Amino acid sequence: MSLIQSDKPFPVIETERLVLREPRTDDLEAILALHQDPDVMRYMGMSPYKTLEQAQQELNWFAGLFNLDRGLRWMITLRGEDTYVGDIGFHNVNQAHRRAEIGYKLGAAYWRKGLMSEAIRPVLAYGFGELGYNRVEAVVDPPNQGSRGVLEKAGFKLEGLLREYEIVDGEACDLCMLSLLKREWQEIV
Amino acid sequence: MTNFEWNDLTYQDFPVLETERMILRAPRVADGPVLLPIYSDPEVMAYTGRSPLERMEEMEQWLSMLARGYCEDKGIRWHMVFKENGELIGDLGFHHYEPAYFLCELGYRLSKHYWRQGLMSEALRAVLAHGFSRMDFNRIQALVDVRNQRSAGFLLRNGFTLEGVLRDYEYNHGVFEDLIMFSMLKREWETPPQPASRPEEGQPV
Repeated sequence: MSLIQSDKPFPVIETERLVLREPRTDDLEAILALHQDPDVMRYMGMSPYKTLEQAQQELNWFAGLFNLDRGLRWMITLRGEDTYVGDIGFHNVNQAHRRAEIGYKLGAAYWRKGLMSEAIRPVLAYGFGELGYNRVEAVVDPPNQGSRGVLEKAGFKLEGLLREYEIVDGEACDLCMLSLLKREWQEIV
Repeated sequence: MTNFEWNDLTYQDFPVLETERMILRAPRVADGPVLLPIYSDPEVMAYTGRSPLERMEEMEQWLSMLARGYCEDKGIRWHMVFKENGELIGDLGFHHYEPAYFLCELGYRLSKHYWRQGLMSEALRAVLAHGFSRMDFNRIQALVDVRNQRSAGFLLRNGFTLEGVLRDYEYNHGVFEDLIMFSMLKREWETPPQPASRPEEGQPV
C-alpha cells in the first residue's frame, strides 16, 4: 500500500536500470534487511537496526518528507523487480535559502555497478528543476570513499571538514561538506 | 505572526555573567529603544543577512523571538552593558541548537561606537566558558559572510578555526551569499593550541 497522502502525484523516475518510486508499507522487510547490514550502515551516523520498529520509523520518515512537503525520498528498485534495494532524496530543506541536503543508501550487493550514479543524476535534475533548489549539499564521513566518489562524479565540490559535527554512539565525528550549485549542474548536463 | 508574550520575569533564571568591564544580562523590555539605534545601523547590520531595522515594532519582534527561544530552550542572547553606567552596547549569544550533536551557532552585534576596544572579545570569552562548561556544547560554530573581514578576523583572533566556504549558502535580498564556516571545539577551549614556536636559526625545520 502506498504511504503517500498528498494531492500531488509522487514523481516516479525511471532510468536505464532503475525505477525510483514512492515508499510503500510492503517495503518494510526490505528496509529492515538493508539497515541491518553493518557494511551499509558503517558511515550513516546510525548503528545497524535491530528491530522492525526502527525500520517502520525510517519508512514513516520517508513518507512524511513528501506528505508534509519537507523533502522527498525515492525508493530505489531495479527495473522489473519492484523490490526496495535502497533510497535517495532530499531533506533538511531550507526554502528561504533554496537549498537542501541529499542523502542515499544502497544495498551492498548492488555496489560498484554505477547504480547510485545512475540514480543521482535525475534526482538532482528534479531538485534543481521542479523543486527550485539552488544549492544541494551533502555531508559525508571522510573515509566513506564510495559515497564521495558518487558525489564527485556528479560534480559536487568539497568545501571543508566540519569538525566533530555529529555525535554517533557517544563519539564525535568529523564530516566533509560537499555541495553542487545549480549553475554548476547546468554546465555539466 | 503574533508576538510571544514576555516580560522581564520571563528571564528570572537567566545566567548573568560578569567580565572585567561588563555585565552580560538578560534582555529587558526597556532595552528595545536603546537597542534600536544599533540594529538600525547599516554598518552594524551589513553582511548579517538582515536589513537594518527601521521601526520599533521590528525591534519588539526581535526581542519577543529571543524570549520565545529562551523559553523553548532553542537559544540564549546576552545583552552587554557597562558595569560603570549600565549602558547597553550590544548583544551576543547562541542559537540553532542541535542537542543531539551538542552543537550551536554563535551570533553577536556591537554598537559601532565601541568597536576596536576588545569588548566583544571580552564578552565572547565569558559566553564561550558558559557554553562549553555549563551548557555542555561540544562544538560552537559561526557563519560569516565572506565579505565580512572584520567578523572573520574577530573569530580567528579568538581561537576559532576556519573550516570552509559554504557556497551560495544563503539567499538574502535577492542575492546568493557565500558564508565561511568557523568552529571552536570544547577540547580546544579547554586546551587552547599553543602558537607555533619559531624554529631556531640553523635548526632543521
